Amino acid sequence: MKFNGESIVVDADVARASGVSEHPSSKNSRDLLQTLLRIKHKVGFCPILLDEWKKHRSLFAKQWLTSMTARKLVVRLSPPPIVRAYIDAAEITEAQREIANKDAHIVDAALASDKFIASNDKKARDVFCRVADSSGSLCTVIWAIPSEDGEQISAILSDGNDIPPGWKLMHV
Amino acid sequence: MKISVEGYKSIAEKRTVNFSNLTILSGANSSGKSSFMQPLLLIKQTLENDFDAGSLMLDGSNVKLTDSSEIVSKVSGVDKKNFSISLSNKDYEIKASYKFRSRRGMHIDNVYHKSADFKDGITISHGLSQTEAEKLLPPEQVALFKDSFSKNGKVHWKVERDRCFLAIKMHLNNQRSPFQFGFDPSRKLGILATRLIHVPGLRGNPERSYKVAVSDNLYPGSFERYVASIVHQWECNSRHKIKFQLLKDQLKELGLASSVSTKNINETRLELKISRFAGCNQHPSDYVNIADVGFGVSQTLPVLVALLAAKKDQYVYIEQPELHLHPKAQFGLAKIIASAVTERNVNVVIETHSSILIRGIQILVAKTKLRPEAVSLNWFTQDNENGQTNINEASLDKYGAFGDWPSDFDDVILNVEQMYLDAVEEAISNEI
Repeated sequence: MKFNGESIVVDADVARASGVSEHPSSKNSRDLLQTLLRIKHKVGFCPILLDEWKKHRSLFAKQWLTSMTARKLVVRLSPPPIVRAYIDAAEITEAQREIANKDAHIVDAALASDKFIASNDKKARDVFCRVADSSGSLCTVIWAIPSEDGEQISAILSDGNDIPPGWKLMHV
Repeated sequence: MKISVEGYKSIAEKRTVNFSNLTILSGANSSGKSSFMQPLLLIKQTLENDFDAGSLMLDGSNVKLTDSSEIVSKVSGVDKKNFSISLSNKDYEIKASYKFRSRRGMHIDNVYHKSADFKDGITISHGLSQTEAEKLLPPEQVALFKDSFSKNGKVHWKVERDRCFLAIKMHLNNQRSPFQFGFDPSRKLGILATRLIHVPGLRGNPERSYKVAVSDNLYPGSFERYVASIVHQWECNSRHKIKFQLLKDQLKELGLASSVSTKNINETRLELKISRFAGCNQHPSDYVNIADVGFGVSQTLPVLVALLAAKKDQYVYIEQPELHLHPKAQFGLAKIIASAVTERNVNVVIETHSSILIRGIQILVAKTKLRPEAVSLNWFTQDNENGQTNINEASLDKYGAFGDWPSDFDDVILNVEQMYLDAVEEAISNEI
């Protein structure tokens, strides 16, 4: 399956990672952001996500966001908050529910755009895979981890490579 | 207003810039930014020169060239011995073409003019006969002048060189008539050139004293030599106290000085004095000669004074306004430039390498302090294969965004940040 969407949602933890020197997650995060800028790929932000990005002190991330904004590559989303209902209905622990609620806005943003998330939060992905059991629409969302698969993500977005099936929010 | 240049240095093929209230020329070094403006500056210094040598003045206050061969485009695949500069808007188009003549320099070859009076456009060249020249003029007025001067002799019109332009001039008995009725097709181009305020990139070393330079709305040559006299006039004349105060405020905003003052040394020389530090009380002992402070003040003062001195609709061309300025001051310049545009209707053209300055302009647009349509962004690049200059134009939207833009612009900062962080990461992982 290839990615044909216009925009992806990039979590604020990618902004954080890009500004520090944690090997290899930081370089991979920076490389992904640079790829998005280089190939002029749009990114979608809901208000909460944009606030999170702005709170990060990473100069690299701030500069990147400025460049993307100046090039009209930032899509401002106003997604309806539907994911919380899925989280509430899901058969998961309270601790997992807390993890999921923290990132509900990211999944809402993905559902309101082209269903592609780039986030280093593996724990959150695992939880949302379980939440997807009770939600058909979540199963179509791709959650990619830049710190691990940065190069592959770049190849999918720039060269049209296939998306690994395992990146979908599905509980295996 | 559009200006087009063709056949000049790396601008072999015609390239056009749309001049707005604020026109920004940006790009890598040697991409052709200065070359684009040089034809207009050559015309300026030729018209302002006391002596008419017949050719374009190559070595002057605004442009310093030594040989016409330096102007002729050497872009491979293009064989041009002419260069031209065009000025146009919705009402008219004027194009002056200059021909390279070995050992004689660059001479005006022809002028093209199109306007409401000449809807199909006309070309005036040396080869135009008297009959053809006369036909270009309004027939009723030609008849009127012929009648009026019939007692004095024969009236006819000829194409003549007028400095670096061609014009149709009236002759009486084969001699130039002191009373003129004719046609100057390049007039608007000449006016633009002579009214242009030029603040060059090399603004001279700060001097202990400056020659008094009298000026009004026109500033022949490069602008920096008028700065001391203008500031002195503003300081001493109560009519100009607002401008003097604005200048002091702007110097303070940029963090360069809290005040400026001048002193008459004698009838022909002035001293420019700057406050020693930010908290000065403006006591005479708090001022030092401008030559004794950092370059930031002496190089920025011409920029600020030019923007304040310019009249409504006058063009101010500033090369590298950000020179010798701390990044914070570079950012502060954006507001000062924008205020000249919005509050005093000055037309500003800046050639800049400062992405901070451009970002400052974008912020002002996003904050609705500057209309997006008032800004024209132009990015110059040079073709890697043949050296031809290319110009990409971008306009800003209401958020100050310019959309698709050549990748070089301000990516350098991001790339450098990345290189540093990657290097640190690699060093840390090697230590582990």
